[in-house]
Amino acid sequence: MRSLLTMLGIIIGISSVISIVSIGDSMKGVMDDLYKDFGENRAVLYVGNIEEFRSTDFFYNDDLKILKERFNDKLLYMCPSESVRSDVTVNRNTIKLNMECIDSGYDNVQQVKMLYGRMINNNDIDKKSKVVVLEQNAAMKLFGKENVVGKTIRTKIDNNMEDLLIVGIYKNEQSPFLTLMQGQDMYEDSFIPYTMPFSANYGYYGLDFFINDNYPVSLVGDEIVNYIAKLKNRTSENYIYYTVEEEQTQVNSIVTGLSVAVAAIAAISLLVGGIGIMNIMLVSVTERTREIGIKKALGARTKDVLFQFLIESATLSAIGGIVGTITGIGLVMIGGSFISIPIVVNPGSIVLAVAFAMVIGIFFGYYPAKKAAKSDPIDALRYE
Amino acid sequence: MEMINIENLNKIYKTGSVEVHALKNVNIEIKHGEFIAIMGHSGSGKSTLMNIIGCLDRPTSGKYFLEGVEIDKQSADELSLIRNKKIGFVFQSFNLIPRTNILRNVELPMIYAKVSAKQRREKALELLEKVGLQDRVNHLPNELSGGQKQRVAIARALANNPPIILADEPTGNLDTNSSEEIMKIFRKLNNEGNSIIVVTHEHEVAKYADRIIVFKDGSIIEDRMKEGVENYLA
Repeated sequence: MRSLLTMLGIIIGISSVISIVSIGDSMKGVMDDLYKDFGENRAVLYVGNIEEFRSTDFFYNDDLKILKERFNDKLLYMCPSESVRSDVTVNRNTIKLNMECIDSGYDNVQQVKMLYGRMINNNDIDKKSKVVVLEQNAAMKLFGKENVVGKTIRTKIDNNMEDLLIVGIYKNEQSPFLTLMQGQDMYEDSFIPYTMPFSANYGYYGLDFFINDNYPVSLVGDEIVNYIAKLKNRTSENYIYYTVEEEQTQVNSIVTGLSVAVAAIAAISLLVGGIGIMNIMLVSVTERTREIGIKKALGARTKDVLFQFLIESATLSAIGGIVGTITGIGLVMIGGSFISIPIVVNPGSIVLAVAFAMVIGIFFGYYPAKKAAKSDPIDALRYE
Repeated sequence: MEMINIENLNKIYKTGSVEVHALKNVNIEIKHGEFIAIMGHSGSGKSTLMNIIGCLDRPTSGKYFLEGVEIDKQSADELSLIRNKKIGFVFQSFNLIPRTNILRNVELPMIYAKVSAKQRREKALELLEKVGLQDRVNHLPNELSGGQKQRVAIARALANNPPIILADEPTGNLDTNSSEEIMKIFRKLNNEGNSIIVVTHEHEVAKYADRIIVFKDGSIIEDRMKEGVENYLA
């Protein structure tokens, strides 16, 4: 009972450190998933940092063609990053629809789970087909069923009312937690060919890239920026290139830094636990003065007694460490199951935590053990 | 070579400004195989002598040779080693380790002597059988009677085959029957060749010994052999 109370400090300390570290790791895992969803090899380029815009600063279909040829081997996919938003009404059901402009081949670089029909293809791009691929929720809300391939929706594009043929239905696959993180924006999702809404001489503001995995995303980005700047007679500072990779590294380091900082604060409770161990060991040494005296009379050397007490306090704190680890993981697992995110427990942090607990036990057990080891056998034997 | 040789031994305790002259110019020779009773009232200095012979304490002046080695300048750990190898202690209050079974208690001195686990166990069982406790090996000390506890303590004292068994009032906490039983064991051990020094104030106990040394106020006032014993030793 007394040992349990002693260990409590260590248990609480270790379990909070373990749970904070694994919350951090789990957050990182969630963020990684988020970026994977968005595409880790994805980058965007847009016009920025220009005081007076010239019409040539924007990206035109001719520029796209040149870039595609120039960076053919390094780019998996390139498309103007544009979307059209509009209300759509079918049978008195109105939804807000976000139509993401994509090129053919989008489904090669991003996972798109098709339920019915087909994805946007080359033909749609070339012919500027008035087609749309709807997310299943949009279909459900408009038509009350999922398979509505072949039906049309009427929507406003570039101030004209257009009838779009539904050629496919897909399903957004995201964990509820990711949806929560990204926020609900009222808009239902869909895809349209990027060539359809805009006139041939439309200047796009930004471009969306997927870089070939064999090339470093940021280096290819620099190349593209320099090339574009030269093409447009601007400097590379006039264009902003933004990679998911960079963002991810940044966020990861913030999450790591944060969890290390909080874990360090939690580690202070380990200090308190260590003092608790020292306290109980001092009591134990006093209580066992006679036992120590007997052992010394029978031939125990200073280090025999020292080790006996050090092992005792190290065992005490190691058990505390193990129980604390189990408690910590348990807490995180329970918490994680509530918000349905995958829990990451780093085995290294477990080993570290238990080892650290033992070090605390040895550190705070040393003084009492030394006191016991140094006691004079005559005094110790006389002690009642 | 004498087993124990004590020459002009003095022990002075200082408590604050008060000096207590516990032993005054003590000279004793003890041979291997002797069975000695050291007697005296409390405060006579017999326990102090016991502590010095047992290497638990150092003399203030004078010389103490144990098997030819002068016990004087040794470190605490060196004294531990000497106690471990050369002295078997039997205490008035038994001093068994609580919450540890009696087999482990008997093994304890051998652990410090770094005897292998197997040998330890064999020796401990052999010794417990010798004191008639072979069927109690897994009992805890507090499950035994006083006499039984003291028998465990004797078995423990014999663990490393020390040249001397040092017993400090071994019957002080025992009833008459158990006392007799314990002293008979000592007698038997002495007959087998063990040297035994018993500190006691009881004549009943002292009569088992071959030689009696009586202390008063830190000095020896009497040191005599029982009749016929001297010849036997010589």
